[in-house]
Amino acid sequence: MKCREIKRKLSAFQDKELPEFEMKEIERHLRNCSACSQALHEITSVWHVLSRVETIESAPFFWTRLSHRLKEREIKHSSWKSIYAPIPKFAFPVLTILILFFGLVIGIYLGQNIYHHSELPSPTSVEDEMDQTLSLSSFDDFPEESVADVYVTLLSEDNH
Amino acid sequence: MENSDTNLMLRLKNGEQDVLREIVERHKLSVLNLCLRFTHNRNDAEDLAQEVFIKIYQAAPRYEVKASFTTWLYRITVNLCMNYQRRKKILQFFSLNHRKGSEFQVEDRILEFAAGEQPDTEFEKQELQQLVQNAIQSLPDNQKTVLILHRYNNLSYKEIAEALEITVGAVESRLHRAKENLRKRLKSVVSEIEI
Repeated sequence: MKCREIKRKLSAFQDKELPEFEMKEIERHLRNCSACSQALHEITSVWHVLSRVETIESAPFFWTRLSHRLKEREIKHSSWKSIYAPIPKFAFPVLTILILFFGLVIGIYLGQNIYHHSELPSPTSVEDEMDQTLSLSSFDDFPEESVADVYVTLLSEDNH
Repeated sequence: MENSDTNLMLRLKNGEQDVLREIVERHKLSVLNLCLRFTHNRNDAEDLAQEVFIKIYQAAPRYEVKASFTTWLYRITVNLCMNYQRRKKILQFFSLNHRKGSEFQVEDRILEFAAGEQPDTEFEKQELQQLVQNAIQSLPDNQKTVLILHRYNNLSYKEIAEALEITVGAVESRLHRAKENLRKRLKSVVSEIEI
């Protein structure tokens, strides 16, 4: 094995997690390679330094606090259970489906009826209005004795 | 075999609630210390450890003998610790005092320590603990988890692979990278300490 491969396996070698033949091969290599030996030494040193961490040695009231928490949870759980216990499990999904279904039906009904009686002009009435405005009858004389006819007559008399 | 962890869990499953105490007494320190490696805070570690045992108690009716009990226990602990870290990161992100202390200060503090003397006082001992803790904390989550389980809980590569549901090869490679990162980060500290 080359140094590159050895270095990649040094971690597992240090942990003695390699098969026996690989362990022996690396051991042989380390006897003759100072660079790889140095790399192993550094890894091992770091491994030892890692022991310098804060450690909890005892936890005297751990069980007391845990049992208290467990009781609290059981009380909460049982109070919820007493509320929901009489209701069968399938009731919740069935109820949800029913609510959604009725919501959908009411939505469709309202959608169809809200605009049904509205006063929006129908397409035919718009067309009629356009015909009236733009037809040739727009240029006819005003009906006799209508306000417009009287007004036009007065204007023409003034001009004369 | 009579009082093995698996046996105790089966008794708990069958309704013998008293055995929970025995399970807790057996494993509380290893779970507490595992939580402490992730939280760096004794109170949070205790909260999380209690949560672990509550989960075990709640899961007891569904317990099946598949993997070893400790593997299962550590899987629950690691999952809870990772959730805790995620929540903490989100809270830190939205807090006004958002700082990545453990990440950006590690190298400065290592150099500071390396320039000093041997950790013969309590203060220096705590400083060193903090440096090591911060160096571990600065590792990516997947490397950190593997390193903690191996170094502090003495799990073999196979057990870690089972606990984290990854391959043994992945454990080996993550551990190699973790050690390499720590070697770089703690080089100056190592050279100052007699081993």
